[in-house]
Amino acid sequence: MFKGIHPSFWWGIAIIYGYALVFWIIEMSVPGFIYYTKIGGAPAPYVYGLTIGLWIIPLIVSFLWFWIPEQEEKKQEMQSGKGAE
Amino acid sequence: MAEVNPIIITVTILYFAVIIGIGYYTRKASADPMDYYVAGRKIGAFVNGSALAATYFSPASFLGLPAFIFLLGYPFWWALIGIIAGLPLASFLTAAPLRKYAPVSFTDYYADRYESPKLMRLIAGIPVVMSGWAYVTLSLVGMGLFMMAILRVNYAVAIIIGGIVILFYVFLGGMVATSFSTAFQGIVMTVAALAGAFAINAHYGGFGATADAIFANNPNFWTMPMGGHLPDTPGVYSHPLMSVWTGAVSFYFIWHFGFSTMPYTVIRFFTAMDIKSARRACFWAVAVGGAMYWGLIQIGSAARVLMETMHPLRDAETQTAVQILAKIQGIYQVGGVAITDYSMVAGLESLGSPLIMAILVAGGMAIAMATGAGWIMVLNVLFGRDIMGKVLGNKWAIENPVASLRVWSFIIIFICFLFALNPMALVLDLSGWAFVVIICTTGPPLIWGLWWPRATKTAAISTILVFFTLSMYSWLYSLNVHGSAHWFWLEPSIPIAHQMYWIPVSIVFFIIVSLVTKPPADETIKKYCTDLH
Repeated sequence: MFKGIHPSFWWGIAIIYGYALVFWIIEMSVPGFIYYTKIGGAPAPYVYGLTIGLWIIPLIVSFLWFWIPEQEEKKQEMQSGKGAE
Repeated sequence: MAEVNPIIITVTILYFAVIIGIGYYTRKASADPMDYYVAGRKIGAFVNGSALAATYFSPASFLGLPAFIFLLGYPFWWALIGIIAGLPLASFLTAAPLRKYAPVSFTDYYADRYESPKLMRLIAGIPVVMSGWAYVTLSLVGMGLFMMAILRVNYAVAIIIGGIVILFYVFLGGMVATSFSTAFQGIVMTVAALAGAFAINAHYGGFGATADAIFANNPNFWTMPMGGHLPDTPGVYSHPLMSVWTGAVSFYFIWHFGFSTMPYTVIRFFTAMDIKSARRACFWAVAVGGAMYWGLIQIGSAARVLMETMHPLRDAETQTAVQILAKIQGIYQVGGVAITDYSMVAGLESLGSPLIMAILVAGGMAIAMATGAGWIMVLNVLFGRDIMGKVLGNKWAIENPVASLRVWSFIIIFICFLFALNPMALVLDLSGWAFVVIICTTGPPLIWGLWWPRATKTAAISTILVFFTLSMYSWLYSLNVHGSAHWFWLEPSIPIAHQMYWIPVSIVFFIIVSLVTKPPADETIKKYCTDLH
């Protein structure tokens, strides 16, 4: 099952779900954390949720998930080119 | 028609002009069926990514998600984070392997992988037709609401105009027109959501000041289940659905897997130039969709305080947001539309900026038309090519593929228009079920078919039929007996968004049935599973 899927898929998933899990645990354990913890004058979820969780992490993961396979494919093409020579 | 600001009318006319122009300039696509079906597989990564975001996010996103934040408070932020976090998953799971396989229709893969050219198309078509019908109807309703609430156009006239414009560009340019118009609509809807969010923050004086205004109006907005209450009010939460951890967590996952499995997004991977382009499109979908959700979260969060402090309809008897929304619904009442569906528009209306409302109406129409057109392209290929041509062997449909799709585009829009004209609450309610039903029926046979050689035809058929029935029954049962589709069908005190537990249950069911039934031929597995990796 899922044999042949790129290894980066699994660590990408670990980052996405791990990040959410860590903040769920904090938010559900510390009364008032969401509003009273401020970063730059705004509640912390504006930074770790609205900006990093919503946008930055999925952007980075989706970038790496096309960039890494492309680099590997380039490398393989170069190696097969050398082999042909 | 009541007086409407000229800026709003001008922006609306410009928006329609661009969409109609794209339809007109892509009309040559009708000369080649492959252009009409899959845009000749020539769509680049950015256009496809923006189109993916615009297609995937429906009026349920633009109106419904801010309305959920308005209702349920901060914990629902995680639902939007979960949706965007789900977009990259498609990159490996479906985008790259399906582009390598290069099908024409959503049901092609089921027919080939499960060795049943006719039966699998019909079985896989059942949830697709139900879901597509609900979504196209919802898109027309959403378009009607935007035009009516902001442009003050009669509701029936609004959905006639919207339906004709969608039909115009789908009819003329098929998937080519749909791809470029939808990519444009993706940018428009994102600009609209960002403009709304920036206007709110500019009004209050920044993120911190906006958050403080939300807190001053409703402190319990900023809570999470269990120990996530405010220090001085233990046991008080933003909403009963968000008082138990299952509520917040299940909302994260309910829409999370849709991008990899929903027919209207999956078919966009068929249009990509190559595998690289299909993977890159997922990145651009995150860039465009994430920016839009960044804006929608802030609009939904501030909608209540904006309405309760600034809305023009406030008077001595109409003070709360719910009262204001009830008054608006009384003015623009449309069948079974939920009162909270107006909350996003009403919140921004409170700012009194014609420019923001002009951008908002363009964004609202863009997202509704993009989803409607995406689904019409799924359904017209399903009926016009798969069922008429491949299953029934209709000679006319086989010899006239483009004409067949065009006829079905007209039929689909006309039927959905009739439902949208006076929408039953049930139709709009089912648009929520329309999402989970696809993920738990055609989802496992698609993803496990691509990534597990042991996936079998019996498992595919039984999963689709069993979970189509179960998901619809539990959804309607919870809605009608427990009062909300978000309570667990078997236990009304446990919040579970949209009965989403059927997703893991259907995956386990699919795996078990596959293990005990006859596997496909080795050649089939090689061609439609292992060779696609």
